[in-house]
Amino acid sequence: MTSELRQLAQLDRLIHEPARLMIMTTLYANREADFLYLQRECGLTQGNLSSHLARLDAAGYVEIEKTFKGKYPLTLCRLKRAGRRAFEDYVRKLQVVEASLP
Amino acid sequence: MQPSTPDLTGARQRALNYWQQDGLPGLVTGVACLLGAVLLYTAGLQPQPAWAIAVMLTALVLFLVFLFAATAVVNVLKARLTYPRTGYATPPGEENSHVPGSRLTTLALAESGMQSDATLLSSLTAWGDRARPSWWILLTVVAACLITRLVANAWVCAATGLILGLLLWLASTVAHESISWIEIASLPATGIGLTAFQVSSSHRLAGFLAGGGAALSIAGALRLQRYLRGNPRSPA
Repeated sequence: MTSELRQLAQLDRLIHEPARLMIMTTLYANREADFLYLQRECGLTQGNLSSHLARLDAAGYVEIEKTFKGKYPLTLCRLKRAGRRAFEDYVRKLQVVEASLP
Repeated sequence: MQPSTPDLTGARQRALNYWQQDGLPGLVTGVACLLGAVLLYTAGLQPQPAWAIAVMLTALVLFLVFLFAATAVVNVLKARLTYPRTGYATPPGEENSHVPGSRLTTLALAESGMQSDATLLSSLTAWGDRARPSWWILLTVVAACLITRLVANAWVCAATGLILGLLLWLASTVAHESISWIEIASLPATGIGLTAFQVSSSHRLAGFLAGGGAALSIAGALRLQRYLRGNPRSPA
């Protein structure tokens, strides 16, 4: 097994799951986004998104805040510093593997 | 299946498109331009009747509000119309201070070895350049104002309008800016109109601002109408 391939085994499995990777990528590109935007952007159902966000929240990767924009109630989600670092680390490892491919 | 890095540039671009999608930013910029046109027109009247001073002062206050609090005004409107329908994402420009994404995207693209430096640079700057297409129109209107102010001949308005319309068309086709045909046609139409009606050089600035503002407002309103039709508010 090459060292590049070993990087694959070290990928953060919490982020590696496709739905959570979409959530992390969207939150990384935007400073914050609300539940509805994430749901539409990632094409997930309410229950599915809730459960993935709960897992990311439990891991300390995202923070969820209930607030208002005018009279409209918002469930704002944003990446925590740990989440940002974990995502960057995940991408870097993936790049190493990607670079080694023919 | 080949592993691939997450598409950050694409996610950013979608967020930027999302900000423009409902037409409200264009609509607000258009209204600001129209207020500016009213302000300039009334300021250029000789002699100035009392009503013109009242209109000028009102337009000045509203213009300054729109000028310095454009994002806040758009946000207030979006809170009523957009966010309940399709959700909230950080407005363009605000996400930069917190997202050190460029460094990572640079790494991702450079290490993939698939893109030349030029492509890399353009893909990194593309999202920033496309943040506010309305600025293209504003800049061209300002350029038109300066040229038509300096040259007295009335035909300069038509020529300037046509050239600026061509530039906007190039921006939309070559640089893929999201500029509607209404916005592209507005400047030549305004220029020809100003020439046909022999508008004095002191009112040409107001004329171009009014033309550009009207086009932005109409294009924004049409976009908003399409957005509201396509995204009906779900019953709470």
